[in-house]
Amino acid sequence: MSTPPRQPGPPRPPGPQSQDEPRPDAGPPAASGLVCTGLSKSFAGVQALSDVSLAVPAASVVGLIGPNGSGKTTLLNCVSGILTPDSGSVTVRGEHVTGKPAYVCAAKGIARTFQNLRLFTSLSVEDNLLIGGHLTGNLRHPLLRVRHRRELAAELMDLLELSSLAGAVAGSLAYGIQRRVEIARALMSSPAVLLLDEPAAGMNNVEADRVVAALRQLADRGIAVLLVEHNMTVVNSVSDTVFALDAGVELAKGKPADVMVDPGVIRAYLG
Amino acid sequence: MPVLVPDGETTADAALGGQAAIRRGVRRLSKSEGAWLGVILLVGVATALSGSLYWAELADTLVYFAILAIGLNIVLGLAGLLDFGHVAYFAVGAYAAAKIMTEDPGLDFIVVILASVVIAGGAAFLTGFPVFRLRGDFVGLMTVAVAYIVSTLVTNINWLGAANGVVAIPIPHILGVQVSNDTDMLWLGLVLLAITLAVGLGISRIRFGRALIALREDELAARCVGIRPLRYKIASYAVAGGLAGIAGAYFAGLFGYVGPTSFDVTQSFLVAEVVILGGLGSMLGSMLGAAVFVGIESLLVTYVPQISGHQDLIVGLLVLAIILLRPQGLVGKPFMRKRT
Repeated sequence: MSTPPRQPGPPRPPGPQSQDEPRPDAGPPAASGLVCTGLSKSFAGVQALSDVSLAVPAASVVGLIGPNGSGKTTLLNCVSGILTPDSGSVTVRGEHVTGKPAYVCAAKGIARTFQNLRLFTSLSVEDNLLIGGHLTGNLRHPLLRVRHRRELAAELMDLLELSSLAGAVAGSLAYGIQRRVEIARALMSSPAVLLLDEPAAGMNNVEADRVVAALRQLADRGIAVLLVEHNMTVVNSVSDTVFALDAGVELAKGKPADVMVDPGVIRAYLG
Repeated sequence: MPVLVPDGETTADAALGGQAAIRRGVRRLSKSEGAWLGVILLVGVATALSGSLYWAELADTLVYFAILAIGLNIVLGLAGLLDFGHVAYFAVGAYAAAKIMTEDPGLDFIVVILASVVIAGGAAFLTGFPVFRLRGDFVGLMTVAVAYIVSTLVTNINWLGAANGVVAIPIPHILGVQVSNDTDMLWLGLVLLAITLAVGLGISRIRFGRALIALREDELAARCVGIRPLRYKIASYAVAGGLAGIAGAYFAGLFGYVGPTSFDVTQSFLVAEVVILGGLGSMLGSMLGAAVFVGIESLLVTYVPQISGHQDLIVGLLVLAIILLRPQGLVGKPFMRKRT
């Protein structure tokens, strides 16, 4: 994917942590968010991840960057239970989820989107969200759970500007809108950790800016967001910390401004 | 609130407003579905009131086929699982009812039906564990194998009458009233069909049904939102088995005889044809498909006797035409309704 020219990101909405304030670096401890320690994964001799440690504290956004094939999606798959890491551990809010099935990881608070959209394309936007809320609600009475899910769906559609499309068939929508539907669906489980795999892919700058604003709001609500993205404008404007991978190995981590000028990152990825 | 939809891609719902769309929801029947439901039930009631033995017999057959099709549609249509062994649970329900009624003729038929539902549903639940450990086409092969196993068992177990089947099943009675003729059975059948339809429509509109549809659409994405595939697949299979148990009990009460020939594996394919004919995922479609299937077969036999014995060929060609020309079936899936 080509990298768009860098430009300043949109102003952040006020929140408990603004860009001017110091933010936690990506490093343990982050018991209230996501902590990956020493994750390794290989496929038929190809080392996709090699001893990667990464932390995403609650109420923060960590940008995960790197060239194609650097192991970003593999890391997300290991965290979300789609793949079992060869070694290392994953904890969410202090609970181990290493090697657990995806539905258990979801129940523990991990939600995700996919690099290649995986919407329930023949269903309406609202139904996609209601399915996303499969685990939502600890209310005892089923009718209250139904109401809670519907209210949450309405709120998220409002946040991601999908309200007018509630009844539209998801598969018939433009690519950028489907991306937002997928984010909204992931948020329906009220996750502690949100894994986003290229959420701004296929979006124009205006749409990407709106996604950035939405992500900032989500982080400010306490969600730990791990963002895989090739659009450096998006990464720079929303991330508290950036983590760079190359060939499954940690290349650099730190504040966005520092990582972007890291010689190793420039050589391997930014060119 | 700005809407990020390019010109020409805004939906009718945009004009209505999102909240209105949410309130309206996707839970209600569409007008066409409601109309079909009304027509089918009206025809059923009119048939029962007409007193015509021919039409009552036809409608009785339609009832158990429709119940079978609605049950299969939960597995095949909603969950998208290949199930070509549905007749196995029809047989389990029918034999269970037959044995219970012959062992205890005084038992109310409602109790017999409930017992058949539990036994057939339980059998489906247990067989679901090995079946759904497999994926894709192998599930279809396993369900066919289950149907063959059940067919072989009922043909060879003496306690079930072996090749002779269970004969002289007592006339069923409900609350002390005998259900002694085809017209009485039709009234009962319409009630059972209405219950089955309510179950089918209800499932397709609640969390359970949405989970099945999610598994059908994209199992990986479904797992990532917290849906446990094996649990939901087995549950859908058990519900479908239970509904087949209703059809089986009705069949036993209607004919007073159950034998292995009634539960040949090919019956499963006929029910699958009915589901495809009506529309995968559409419970009303299953009713309509059963009506078309049974109606065409019977009318061909009655009015074009030369074709007798080849009616399956005509129905097969009809299903082929439907698949090619209208893959969503006669009614189509409620969830496939496009609102743009």
